[in-house]
Amino acid sequence: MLAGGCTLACMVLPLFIRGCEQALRDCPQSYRQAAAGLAISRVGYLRRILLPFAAPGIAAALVLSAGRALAETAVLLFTAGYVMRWPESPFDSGRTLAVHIYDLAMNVSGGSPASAATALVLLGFALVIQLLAWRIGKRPLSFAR
Amino acid sequence: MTAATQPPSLSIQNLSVHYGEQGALLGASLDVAPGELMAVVGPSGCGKSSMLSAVNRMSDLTPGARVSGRVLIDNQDVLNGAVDVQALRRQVGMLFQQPNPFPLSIAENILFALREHGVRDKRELHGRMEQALQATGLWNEVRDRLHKPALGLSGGQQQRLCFARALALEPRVLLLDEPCSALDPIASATVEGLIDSLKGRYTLLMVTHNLAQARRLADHVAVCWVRDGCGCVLDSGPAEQLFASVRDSLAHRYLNGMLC
Repeated sequence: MLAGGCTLACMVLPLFIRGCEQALRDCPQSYRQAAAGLAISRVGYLRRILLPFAAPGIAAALVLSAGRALAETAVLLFTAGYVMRWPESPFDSGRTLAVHIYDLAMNVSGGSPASAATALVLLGFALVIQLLAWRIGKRPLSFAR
Repeated sequence: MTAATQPPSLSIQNLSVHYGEQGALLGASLDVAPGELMAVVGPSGCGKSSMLSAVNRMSDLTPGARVSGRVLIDNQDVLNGAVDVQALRRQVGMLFQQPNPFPLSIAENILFALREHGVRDKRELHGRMEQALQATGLWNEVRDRLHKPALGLSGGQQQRLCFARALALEPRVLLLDEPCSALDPIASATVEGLIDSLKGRYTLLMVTHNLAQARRLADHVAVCWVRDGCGCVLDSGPAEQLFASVRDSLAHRYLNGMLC
């Protein structure tokens, strides 16, 4: 399972980094200039100006890459495994929800209700991530023009 | 805003600025007396802004920029590597062409800068904020909406907020990089009035393209020019003398709009 997690992380990392980079670059140079002119420390600038400004973009990148990871199956068959039991440690084999849905629907007779329930859980996860991103992404009032 | 100490003298000696191989300013020298306003005029690309950015070491932020010569504030060379740049920039405030308030509330724009410089006491924070806003004539306009976004202010108000933000840190020198050029005539007049009120309390170095403005505000004027693709100071002296000068110099012709 740990191997699967690491693999997914590596897979979505470029997507995530690219999104974050863009969000940080979008911050106008004039803010940096102003901060430098006022002798504001790097940390202060990062915390109060740059990160709040880039937060929505970073949140968007997070959702995109989380969605990408959530939808992944093929890679995880190899790395995380596809056993039908509760994993006992992070190093144990497990299966993703997507594989579980597939298995229930195709290989287990009468598995459709369980498969639908699993799909619901997956949907729930997707919604929670979306909601989180929405919360982070809401710009503070003072950013409004 | 009452500067605890007298404004310092500012002396630029043989200052050159290069960006990579490209020279932007070569051998510029000028002196600003304590509490005076020196206007730097000249065509685009003659190194005016480069000169300004060397005074508070903003040039350090430009990759490949090399600065040589001496910039003395009260006889201390600020280009010396040992100088504490943060302390220097606190002493030397800078205003830019485009008003650039932070995307925070009006109050927070000033309080953030003050807090960054170690002011913690709430009373002092608010006292200094109010003083700065009073000094820029903004207080009565914004006192009821201090917690509204600064970006909701008009351009002229934003620029005055930037002045207030700089003044709150109690600088001794102010560098003004075309502070009125992005504003409409009325806002520009208000900001000009503000700059006029700062004379005597701060030593001011102002870049402007507006010759009439230079004439109205400046005690001294320096004319920059482009020579062999590189900026230089052509002439400098008391404003009236330079504008009225009967010498048929290039600087005189530029100041009187007689180049075309």
